[in-house]
Amino acid sequence: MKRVFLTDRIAVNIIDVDKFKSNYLSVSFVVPFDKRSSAMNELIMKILKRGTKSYSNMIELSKRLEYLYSADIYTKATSFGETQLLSFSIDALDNRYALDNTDILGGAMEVLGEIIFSPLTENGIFFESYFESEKRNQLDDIAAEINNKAKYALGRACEHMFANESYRLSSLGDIETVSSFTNEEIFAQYKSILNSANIEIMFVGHIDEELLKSALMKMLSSYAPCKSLITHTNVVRTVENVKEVHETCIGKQGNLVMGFRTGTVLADGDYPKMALLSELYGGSANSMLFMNVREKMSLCYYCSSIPEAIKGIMFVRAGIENKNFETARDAILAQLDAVKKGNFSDDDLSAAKLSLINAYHEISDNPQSLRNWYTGRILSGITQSPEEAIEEVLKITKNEIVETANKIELDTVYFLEGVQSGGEQ
Amino acid sequence: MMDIKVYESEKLCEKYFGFTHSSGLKVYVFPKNLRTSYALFATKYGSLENCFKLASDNEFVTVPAGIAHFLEHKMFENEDGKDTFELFGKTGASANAYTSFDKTAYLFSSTDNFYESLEILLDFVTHPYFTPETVAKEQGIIAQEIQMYEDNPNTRVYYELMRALYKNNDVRTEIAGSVESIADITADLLYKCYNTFYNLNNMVLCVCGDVDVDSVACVLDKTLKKAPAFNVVRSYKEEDAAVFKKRTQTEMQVARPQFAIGVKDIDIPSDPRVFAKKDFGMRILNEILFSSSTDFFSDMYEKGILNSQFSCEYDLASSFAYCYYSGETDNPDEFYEILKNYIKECQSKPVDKDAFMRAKRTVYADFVRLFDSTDEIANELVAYALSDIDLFDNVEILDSIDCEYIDELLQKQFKDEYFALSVISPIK
Repeated sequence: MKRVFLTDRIAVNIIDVDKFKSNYLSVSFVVPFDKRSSAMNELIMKILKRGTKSYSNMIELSKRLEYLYSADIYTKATSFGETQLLSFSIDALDNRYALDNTDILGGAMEVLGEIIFSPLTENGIFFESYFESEKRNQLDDIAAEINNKAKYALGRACEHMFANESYRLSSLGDIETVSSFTNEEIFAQYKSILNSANIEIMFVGHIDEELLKSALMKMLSSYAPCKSLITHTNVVRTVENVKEVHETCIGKQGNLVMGFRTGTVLADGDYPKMALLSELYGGSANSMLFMNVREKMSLCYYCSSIPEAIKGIMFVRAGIENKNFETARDAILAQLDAVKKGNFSDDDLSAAKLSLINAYHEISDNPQSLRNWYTGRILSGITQSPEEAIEEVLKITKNEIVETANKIELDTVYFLEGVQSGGEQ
Repeated sequence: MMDIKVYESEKLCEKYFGFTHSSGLKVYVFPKNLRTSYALFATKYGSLENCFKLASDNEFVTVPAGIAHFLEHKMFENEDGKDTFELFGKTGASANAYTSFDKTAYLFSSTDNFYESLEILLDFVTHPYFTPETVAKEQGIIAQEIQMYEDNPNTRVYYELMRALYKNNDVRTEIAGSVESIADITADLLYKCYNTFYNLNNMVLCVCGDVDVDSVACVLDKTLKKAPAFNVVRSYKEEDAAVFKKRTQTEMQVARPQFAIGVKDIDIPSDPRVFAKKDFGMRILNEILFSSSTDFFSDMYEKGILNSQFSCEYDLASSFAYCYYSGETDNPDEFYEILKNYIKECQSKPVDKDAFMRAKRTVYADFVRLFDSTDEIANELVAYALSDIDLFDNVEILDSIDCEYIDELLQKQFKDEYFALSVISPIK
């Protein structure tokens, strides 16, 4: 990856590869995560995709993109620790595969620029019906979180685990907060982002660098921030009291989520140890959780650990029968204890290494994985490539895994019990 | 010498090879300049094959629902007690498997040690080992998988719709079966299914990535023996053109009502090229009718009747086909009427030429972009391997589709008696 600066506020990260039939470009505004403003940003991202000065509605915008061989343009707010990235992305067929001489990427960049900087407005604020309908959609999305029980359980676990921190999995916000938003306030927030946030750009594909830079300069010509924003993730490394929370939903299965503080983050410089530990513990079908909690004890269909590298947390999730809650919780902790005591073989460790290395190599085949990899590292002030991380992984010893494991502390046990209702057929 | 067929596309700058190995196995090798290689070993045996016999048998045998999927899980255990995932642990490959209505596929992706992993894949799928104890253990795991799907409104609304569209076809039944049906599965029944359908003449291997034909053939020579002739008679149930039930409703804990509208299609072309043409044609037609550039979708979205959850698909398989429109809306019955009236209105005028051109570009671009992933290529090849046509023929087949053909589909596919509605309403 090559990192260059268009201005002191715009960084461009270029991965020049000729192997894809499409090009990927994302333009991300970097802002701090905060419950209220992040929910506002989520709404802004939805409104901006509704219409621009030149393409004033969904029909015109969609038609234009369909001409461009169905170029995908998406706007998305994602969390990296307690930093939110407001990303405007293009995923479009490379010009070589057009059936005529359409300039697909150029056309898509023109639309992307419109979406970011020239929204349809009326009376100096967002077009009212777009504001209203997207606010309603966001409220519906919040209400719909209950539809997916496993995801809902994870969100609820976060609510409890980070009750006094700004970290959240989703930036949708809550019903009360979103209901209170006004168009004026949302538009002011939009203007404030353009006026203060730094921009991180990622390009994956094949293009002449100078051409790309001049196209980006043109697209971003109206970006002239006067203020600056600082983003920071508060890493909590110790736990005073373990929380255990039980809630119910109407369903057949119980969803167990266990949240841990890992005490290891990217910024520490030795994150590959934590990544390898999680791979060994619950990252693959050959991991300790899979082999024991699923295969030996038949407690669940899935049981896996997912580490987060910026906030320093790890979740273990499993779908289980209600009556097995304690057995599953204890089995999950027992396996972590085994890692802490070094009760795993050299074969287990080398299998975890191979599996993690395989996953790291695969990143180079997917533009979005590349983008996520480098964004996390850039935000943590490091520049490690997947290949460099592989070099680190190869050197990790059993002792280092044991040391890393002993930094992990259980924070929250959350169980969403599935209960029957009289109404269900 | 093996007769190796070369398939090449200048437009896509891609090339792949196909041959039948002496064991009877059909093989496709697609070299691709990506870091990840992918292998998929599949049998043409899925959840629909619940009633079958060998040509020499007198009686058909009927097996419990969900057995193909159960078998898929059990294949990962070996006679020496080693778990297959442990074997892949030595190569670093990421292995998995899935069962669909019409196939069971075992796969791995790897960035190193490809041929060692390929050997493990071919070996474990050709060596079954089941005991009553291991079968009992799996029942607990799969029961949790089944309950996970039962708690998922998308899965529920889908299967409820299938049970409305079809009276006899086994797409009515969940691929994983039910907690009750899998309780009847025994080691003997698993062997019966295995020995019937896991015959190399009924299977295909697709590999894609940093691979070459000779090295793949070498692994095949080492691991596979010639299979006996494949002679299975399947019993498929006849289906009427009209739907079985017009409407079905279930309650779940969801925020807004969820709906799925199905349009049954029993006109399944037997010629593989016509089959592919219809598949593309229906996808183009769905784009023309429902994409976000249509007045219809835009109007529904503006009014809050639909949101971005709305999706439309056309699913075409050898024994069933349907259009599937799903999403969430406050009043599914009202939307159902709106949608049917809208299609009628569209049928009364010719397809818009500009919308046709844009829809065709969309479907073309989707097809080309599939070649950016070894996983998608291998899965697509499996689908085509079963029909024996060249994957690259699709570019030409797609190109041959004209507005008149789309008009013809629009007139033929949407008769009133083909429609059914499935609703999941919130528990009050």
